[in-house]
Amino acid sequence: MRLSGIGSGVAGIFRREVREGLRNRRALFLAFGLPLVLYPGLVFLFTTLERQQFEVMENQPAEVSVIAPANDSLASATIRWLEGDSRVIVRHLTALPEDSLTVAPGTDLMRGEHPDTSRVRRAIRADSVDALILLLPRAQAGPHGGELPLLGVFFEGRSEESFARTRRVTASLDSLRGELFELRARLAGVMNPWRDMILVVHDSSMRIARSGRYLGSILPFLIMFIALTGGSYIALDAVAGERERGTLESLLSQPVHRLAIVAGKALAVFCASGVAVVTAGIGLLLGSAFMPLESMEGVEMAFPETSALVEGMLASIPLVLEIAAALMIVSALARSYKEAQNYMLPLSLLLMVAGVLSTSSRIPFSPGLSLIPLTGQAFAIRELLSGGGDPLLIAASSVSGTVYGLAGLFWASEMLSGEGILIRRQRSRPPKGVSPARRAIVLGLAVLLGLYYLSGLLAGWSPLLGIAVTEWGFLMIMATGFVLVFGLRPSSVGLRPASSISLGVALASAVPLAVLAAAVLLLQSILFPIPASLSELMKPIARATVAETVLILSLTPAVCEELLFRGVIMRQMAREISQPRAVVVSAVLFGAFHLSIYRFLPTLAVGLALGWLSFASGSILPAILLHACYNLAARYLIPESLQPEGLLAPALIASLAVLAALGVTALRRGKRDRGPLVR
Amino acid sequence: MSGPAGSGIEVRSVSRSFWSGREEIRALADVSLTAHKGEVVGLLGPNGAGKTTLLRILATLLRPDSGSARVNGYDVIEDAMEVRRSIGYLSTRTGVYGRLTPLEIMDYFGSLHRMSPSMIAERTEMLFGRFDLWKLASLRCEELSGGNQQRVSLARALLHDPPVLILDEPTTGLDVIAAATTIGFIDISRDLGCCVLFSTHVLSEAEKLCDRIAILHEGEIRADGTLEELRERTGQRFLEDIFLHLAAGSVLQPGASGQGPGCA
Repeated sequence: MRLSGIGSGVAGIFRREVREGLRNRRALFLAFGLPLVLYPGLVFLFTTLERQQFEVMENQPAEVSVIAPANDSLASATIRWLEGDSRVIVRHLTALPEDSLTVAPGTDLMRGEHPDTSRVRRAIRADSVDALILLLPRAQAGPHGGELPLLGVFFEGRSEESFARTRRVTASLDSLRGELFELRARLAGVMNPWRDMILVVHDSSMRIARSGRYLGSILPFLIMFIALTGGSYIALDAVAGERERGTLESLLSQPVHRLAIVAGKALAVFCASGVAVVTAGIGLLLGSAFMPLESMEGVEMAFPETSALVEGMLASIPLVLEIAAALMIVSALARSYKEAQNYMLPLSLLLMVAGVLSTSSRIPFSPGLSLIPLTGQAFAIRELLSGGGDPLLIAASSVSGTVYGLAGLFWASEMLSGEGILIRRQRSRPPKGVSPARRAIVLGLAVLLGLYYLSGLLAGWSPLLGIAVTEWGFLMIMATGFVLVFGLRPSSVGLRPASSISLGVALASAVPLAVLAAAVLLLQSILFPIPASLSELMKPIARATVAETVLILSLTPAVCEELLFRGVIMRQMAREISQPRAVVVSAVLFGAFHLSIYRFLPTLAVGLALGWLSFASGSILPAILLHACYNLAARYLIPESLQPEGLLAPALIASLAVLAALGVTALRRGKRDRGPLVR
Repeated sequence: MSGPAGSGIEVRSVSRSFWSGREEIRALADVSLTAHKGEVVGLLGPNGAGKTTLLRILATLLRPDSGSARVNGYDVIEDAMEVRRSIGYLSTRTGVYGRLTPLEIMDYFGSLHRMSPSMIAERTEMLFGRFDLWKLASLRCEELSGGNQQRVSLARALLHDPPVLILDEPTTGLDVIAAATTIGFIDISRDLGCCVLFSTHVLSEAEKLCDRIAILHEGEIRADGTLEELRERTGQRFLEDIFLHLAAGSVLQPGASGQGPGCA
């Protein structure tokens, strides 16, 4: 098929979709009407309500609790001031001995650090007040010696109300400062203790609770749904609708390439979604002229700048493409228009996950996120709308989003090329029985899922106990269960004597393998820095005693993981697919089993080596030995000595050479006693 | 539009199965059939006989499990695109685009066949005249009756002047006049050198129109020949009796002539 032929086909298909779409009131409404009216209207409603609430609250005094040292003249003077101010009502007054009101050294109250934010939060809730004021007359060392008084205002920005009231507290304290300053000026020469008063205002609410307040972070979410609804009518009609009306068969018998059909239809869907997004953008801009945003100073709700809005719109192109592709796939999957509509709910939920992630300002835009379909693109829009973002990450997410979108469209065209598009009730091919390979993969995935929940439950406990329980209580039961249910003999899961050569190879390759894995981790951390939380997680493991290390960190994983991954999963798969493939797939599952994107590549490399050894020796005993020794080596090998400028290169080269030699030895010697992987 | 030398339609030992769960459904079992240019062949058979499967294979929508089929000299698998150019295909449940007018439907399908606008206008003029569609030409198709929609579909299938017509029950749902128009058009197409293969339930149509009749039952061709040949073979006079004798023979066992089915 010539390219020009595809092109003219695309144009013809596109024209028809658009022409029919333009004549369809519902499609027009979803593409133009809804985004123009509903979404800006929603925002308008939202902001107006918020403003009114805000105005009502403005006139109410703030209720505060005060914690101050007993018998301090400065503190009592301040409390008197607060009691005299109509903006503030002192509900509770807690007088404490001064020495109990110390702040831990090194705490930077100026930055809002407090030793116990949750305690403050509890106190605010217990007293049911808007803010907690902490008076510390001698809290911090001043720049010229002596001690400076400190006023801490702690509040919880959970609601508009607490925001508004706290503003009144700080305004009151601000006037206090101003008045005292005047007083000092009048009594010139008299030392005023409040001269350098430090005023700390800190929101002790969780940031996630505040993030929802930013209109800008809601926009990617809105864009997703505008694109989804805007293109939905044309998309669902494009395949599912055509099938229902009986026009699909006529269309497919025309001399037009399937790819052209999908491309033409997808282009129409893309345009409808894009038009909806642009219309919503215009609507928001028009609406912002009438929105009472200016009067809402202090409320952390800002409207993105026009340039940011335009950039965000441009960045939404890959996102809209992905959504168009998803809609086309849904349309091709469904038997009828109605069924396609039923698929819209799960699709919306999927979008919701990506959208909700991007609305949380607590989650930073990272390289890992930028490559996730839908999510990465939503984050890119969020970053651009808030007027920033790493250009490299935004480019990465745009490119990956485009690739996902095109891949999705290609998949849809594959579905259209298949016969399944016309025959739905029956199948073209005889059904395959449940093969050992499938069983093994399903088992592997079940292990992953179970582990995911189990590790979540055990995370709070001792990590070492968690490892022991996961390995023996979960992996071992899975493996033995599989062996018993399917009546496998010990030899068919690799529990067979191994030659001394292969055991020697296992012993000798442990350290080089640990070097290799450490090198992979180091190289990877240049691209994807390992977050601090992960190394924090590994700390209890690094503190394990020698006995714990040998029993729980070395032998336990070696036995349990080898029996499951190399013994059961790899060998069952090898009955169906080629042996090297079984090694690779089991290594991928093994890498995924470690449930960390950062540990995937190193563990994948180790999994490949273990699979190879198990395959070459015909037994899992050498793999168990290697796994145990490797875990010991990895535990005691100091990664710092392997910095790129240090021993990394020579150690890596030496290790690779040793591993290659050992691999060849294992294979040559193993041939004699190996036989096929599966008996 | 004429392809390499050869018959209009040539089906050689085509078999095709579907699977419903673990159960195999043999839709076509070793079917062979030929339709020459200038010939109208009727495909008769009860529901579920495999007629639609056979026509869909010829329209390149399904693939045969084994055997081969050529349309206008082109192989349905190797040269699917050429086959699609050569056929006018009307499926059982052919629908129309409700929001387009008959004229726009002609434009659309003409552009898919990469016909020039003047060519489309010329063919549309001729076909709309013949099917009496001019008075409906600028109404939206959703406003047309079922019979009129079927006329539009037929005109659409004939737009690019295909040398081979594959029509799956083209007269179903049409009133007597529309059915007669359709039959009349098939008659004319034959005179113009077209090769027509159509399936039908209406035996009188087949009797009147077809040069040859193939009777398909349970995925097998039970008989294939002119009406005269079928009469001789079965000893029955009317097509309805011939049909019952051959197609439903396994159920009814009429056994008038003592000749069993499976003459093909």
